[in-house]
Amino acid sequence: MKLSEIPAEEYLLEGNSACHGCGSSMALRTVLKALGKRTVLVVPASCTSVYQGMYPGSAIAVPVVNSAFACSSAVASGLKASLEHQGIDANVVVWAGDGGTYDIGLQALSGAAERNEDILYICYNNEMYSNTGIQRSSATPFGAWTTTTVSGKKEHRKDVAELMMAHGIPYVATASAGYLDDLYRKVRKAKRIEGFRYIEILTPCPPGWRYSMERTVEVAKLAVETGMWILYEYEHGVLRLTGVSRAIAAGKKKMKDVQEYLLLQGRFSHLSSAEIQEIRKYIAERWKKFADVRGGEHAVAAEFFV
Amino acid sequence: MRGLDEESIEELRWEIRLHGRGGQGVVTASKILAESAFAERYHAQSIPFFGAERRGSPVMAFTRISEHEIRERSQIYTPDCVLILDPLVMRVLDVFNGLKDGGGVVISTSSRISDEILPDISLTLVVVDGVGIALKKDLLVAGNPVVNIPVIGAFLRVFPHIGIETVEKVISEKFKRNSKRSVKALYSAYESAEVLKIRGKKRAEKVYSKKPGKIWIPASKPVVGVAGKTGYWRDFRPVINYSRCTNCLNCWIHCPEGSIRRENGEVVIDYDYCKGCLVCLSVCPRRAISSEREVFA
Repeated sequence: MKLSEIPAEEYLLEGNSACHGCGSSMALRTVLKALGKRTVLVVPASCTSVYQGMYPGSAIAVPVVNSAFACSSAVASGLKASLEHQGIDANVVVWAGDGGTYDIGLQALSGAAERNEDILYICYNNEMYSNTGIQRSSATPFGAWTTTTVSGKKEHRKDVAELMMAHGIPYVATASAGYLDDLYRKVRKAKRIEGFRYIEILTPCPPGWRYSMERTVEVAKLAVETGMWILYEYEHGVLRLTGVSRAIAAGKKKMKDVQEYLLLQGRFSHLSSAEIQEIRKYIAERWKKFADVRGGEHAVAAEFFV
Repeated sequence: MRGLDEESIEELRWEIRLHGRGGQGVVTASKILAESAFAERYHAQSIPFFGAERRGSPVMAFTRISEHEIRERSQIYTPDCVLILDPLVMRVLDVFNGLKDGGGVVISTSSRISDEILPDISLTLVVVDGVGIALKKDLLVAGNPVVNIPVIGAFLRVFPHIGIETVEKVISEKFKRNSKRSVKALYSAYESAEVLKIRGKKRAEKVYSKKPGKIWIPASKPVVGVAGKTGYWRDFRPVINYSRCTNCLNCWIHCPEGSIRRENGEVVIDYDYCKGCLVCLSVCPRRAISSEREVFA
């Protein structure tokens, strides 16, 4: 897809209070371009609820409903029902962080997914509670420093995208702020599908991940290239890797060593070689799992497991 | 009673307000000052301003130094001294609000300070090129020059109650391995800071009046610049070299701020709102974008 095909209209207005090089505002801009004007956003407490601005101004040029942390999916379900009743055709989209998805909003999310509500749920995952000053969430990867895991997190992260697949919803996808064209395509696709749709975007956070602000895109790309983050689409029961992850699985591209990704970030600077080995093992196991899930389609070359 | 009054006038009691932007080390500077004062056997207090802080957005912190126990826990509204880590904050905030007559102002800037922006009171003005010193001594955090140490160095010129060696000790303990560059910056700022006496006529009174408006529906309306002109958050300015630009739009799609526009088949940077994160520079495949140090006159 050519970048010039992406519309020039801006729905995330400039002059908002997001940090320099913010991965989430980068992704939100693209998502809103893909969704277009007829969209209602539901934003629970998150960085976005701060950088969208204070009354009487809003940095987002579509209607936004701010909800409590735990109930964004429930609010979106109600909004969609109300719009349907009034005969208004609009996309109802939840834009929540990983705290509002993985931890606090999980039960409402699971409920709405099970009811197959006609909403699009987008989780922008920066792997920590950045808004409140970098605390661990259940999306924080193994070994990462946060203010509440000072010597590195001891557990691997959970995977809500897989959890959503287990709910048997029509569409699940993962994306990265490093590949915005891929994200744009996935949101466009999700927009046309009826039922509950879930997209998760990896959005690097310069102050939280401790890297230099101009490297957001580089870090987001490296996460995919090293296998820390896998790009895929799950559509009506069929899982398909996309983009760079697909190229790596098909053997067209060599997977980079994860150390390259870890070294860029201050939050991983304390890792020992044993801990890095643990992360390598986690990646290899995860790749294997995804190859198995896909039933041998585009079989993954053996060298990527070691 | 008379004697007590005299004593309370004689006692050392300084209230310092620090202004800057997130990432420059405003809160850390406030802590270093308080810890140094404490090491000099004074009572000290350091309070950060609580709010939704963002790297780059205006940040405040407060330091109280006293010979006697400090019982207040409030923000500082009538400071004896104002430390301005970034002169750009002056455009969005009244940094001199409540500053006492005869107080001190420490500004980190490379340009000359015109009298017009200063309040109409007598002042001791200290000017130091904090960004210049930070760049020279390689004092960068996440690509941003950290100006808090140079500003402390300059402040010590007007505040003789804390020895520079004490501050050095506090910094060494605080930053451990990385303290060498900070200590060098501290001394460099202490030596290069320029101290000026400014005599104002009288205290300027400002009245902020806002017309009460009728609000029927409490819904926010979309506006450009809800956080003000975020161009002031910039330390480095991205500049497009159009002779190399192929209009591939990589910078346009990746700009987190949306301040790169497509106009007449060209990409144009809106410097009013560009925060200077330099993501555009890193994604440009033709290296058509370069960065320049931002100098506001």
